[in-house]
Amino acid sequence: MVLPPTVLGFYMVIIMGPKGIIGHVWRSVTGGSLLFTFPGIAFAAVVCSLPFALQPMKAAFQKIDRRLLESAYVLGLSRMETFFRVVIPNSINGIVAAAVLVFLHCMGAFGVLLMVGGSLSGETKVASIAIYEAVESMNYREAAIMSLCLIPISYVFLLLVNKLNEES
Amino acid sequence: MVLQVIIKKRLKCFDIEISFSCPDEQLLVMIGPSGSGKTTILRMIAGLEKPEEGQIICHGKTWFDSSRRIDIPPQKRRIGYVFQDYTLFPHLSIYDNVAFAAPDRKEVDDLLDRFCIAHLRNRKPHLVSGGERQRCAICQALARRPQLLLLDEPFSSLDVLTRRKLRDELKVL
Repeated sequence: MVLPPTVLGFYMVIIMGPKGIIGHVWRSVTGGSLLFTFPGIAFAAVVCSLPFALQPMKAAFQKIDRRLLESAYVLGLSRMETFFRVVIPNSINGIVAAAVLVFLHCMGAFGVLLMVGGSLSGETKVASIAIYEAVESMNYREAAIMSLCLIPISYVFLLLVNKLNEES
Repeated sequence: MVLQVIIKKRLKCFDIEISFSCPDEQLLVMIGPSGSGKTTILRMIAGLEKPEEGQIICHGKTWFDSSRRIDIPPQKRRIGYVFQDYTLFPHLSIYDNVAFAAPDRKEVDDLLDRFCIAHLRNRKPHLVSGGERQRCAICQALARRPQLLLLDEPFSSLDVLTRRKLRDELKVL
């Protein structure tokens, strides 16, 4: 997304609020609010990170040999069946890489989540917000421990993305 | 007549204009220099490309007719098409490739036996030789019980011995 996180966060608050379309649908289904809840920040994080999934998935789809699709058509498969039986299995690496990138980006999401979820302990206080707050209150020891925990996680997933890209 | 073809198609450098028919249980061979449109003609019969004008009729059914605006999609033409560089599905084993569109699993085993690739059933296509891939592609096309089998340069990448063997196998069909 090219929008600044705060701008995006503002619009997310509007559409996820009780008068917004998504907040309204959520309320009519579950009876609760979407703002300041974990499902709410999960939704916002995924929406904001989704653009990062497009590129690897597009690249994986484009890499598929057109003749494989033609071969499937000649063998009697509809476009839909071809998508599920040929396209998806042959671009699975790209799809997994996209999911991992979205996950990594969600882990680092900050501004939008703060606006949509606030920082409610045990509900919407995610690691990146907790680190920010620890630094703000000069609690460097806590911030260091949390940061150290996140580094190996990010690194392992980055290795996974690279490996998937190499394989495909 | 099993197949009647009268088609015109404009290509970049020249036009294809051809009419031919093929009687039942007959083999029809198309010969010409590379780039002369053989593949395009096969692709038009398969429904993967559209001629500008003409008619394609198979077993009395009109597959394509420009004047009546009929153009049956490739899925409904029930043909076997072995592509020039036999595009097997890389994510499937030899067996699953042959069984991909087969209505009857038992037939798949028979075909694998007949074309001597039964021992490769669990291998992926990139792990078998060119000749074996070729035979797998033919099995895949036959397993669908096609009313018409189209082979695009089926022997181009094979050595003389394999070529001769495969040609004999095809004649038996």
